[in-house]
Amino acid sequence: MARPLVVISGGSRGLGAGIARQCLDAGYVVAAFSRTATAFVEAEQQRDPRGERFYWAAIDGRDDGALNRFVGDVSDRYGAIDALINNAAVGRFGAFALMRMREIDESLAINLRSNIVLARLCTPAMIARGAGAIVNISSINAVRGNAGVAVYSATKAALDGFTRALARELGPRNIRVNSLAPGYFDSDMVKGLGERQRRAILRNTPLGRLGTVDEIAAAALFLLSPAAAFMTGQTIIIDGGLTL
Amino acid sequence: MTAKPNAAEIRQTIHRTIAEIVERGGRAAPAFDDDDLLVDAGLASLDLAALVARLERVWRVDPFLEAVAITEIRTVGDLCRAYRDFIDPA
Repeated sequence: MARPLVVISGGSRGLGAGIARQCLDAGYVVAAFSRTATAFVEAEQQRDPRGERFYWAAIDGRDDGALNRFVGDVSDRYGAIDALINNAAVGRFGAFALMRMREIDESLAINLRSNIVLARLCTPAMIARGAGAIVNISSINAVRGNAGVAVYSATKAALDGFTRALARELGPRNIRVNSLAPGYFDSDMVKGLGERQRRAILRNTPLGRLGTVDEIAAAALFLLSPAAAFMTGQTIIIDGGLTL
Repeated sequence: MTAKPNAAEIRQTIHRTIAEIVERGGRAAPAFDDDDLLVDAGLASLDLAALVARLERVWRVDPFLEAVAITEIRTVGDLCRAYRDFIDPA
């Protein structure tokens, strides 16, 4: 049987790379893109120079034409796309009243629009095949209000709404759509936190620690897997209990 | 797109693919012609998405990505025209 194919946006660093790594370990063919290559991408390309299991392209998700070509190239090369992880995002944080228009546009374009466009490009083939799974990477900021993340929160909450509507629309065609809302985990976004903020997060987290990339990636893999075959339209919060 | 299909080939491929999709859904494909509404040919809205995906595999084009609104397509003939005009605008 052919290996399942998963497309991962922003699949070169942080959580995206962690999900890609676990998908490879679980037997998937991984097709990922991001704006720039990373040590993870280079290592995988060295490990698999013919691109049998890992394909990466340098793409800015705001370029619709490039996304369209990427999906076409991947389909030609590996066949039907079985799953999609919409992970691409940027974190532009700070006082909303001082945020530059360019930062607002960039957040909306990458965190929301590019992921919607990618889903638009991947779903027709899933419908034709009668199967598929989509996981949108959301955030606990979509379900709780926090200062300094207004635009980021708006994009992630919009993705959750997109998840629910699409789940209802595509469920009859055996395509599942779920959101994964991570809390604070060891990522570049968390590195930007001050020591006081970090202590406050740990104090308010029942499990008393930050998450790890591997823990969040494992939840994404679960949502793709047959173990989640009866789950769709859900936002799964994985935050050590912070939002309780 | 490899070789540019002519209008008759586009029509034939679309008619055949509609019938295949309807039958794949476990229904008998009704007799239909260009004047028939897509829904009367047996296509639900998601069937139309499947049809567009399959035609994209054949001709490597999706007119509905940018150029044409799917809401403008009501009949089988509308669909054939949309592909014909997109593939060969002349």
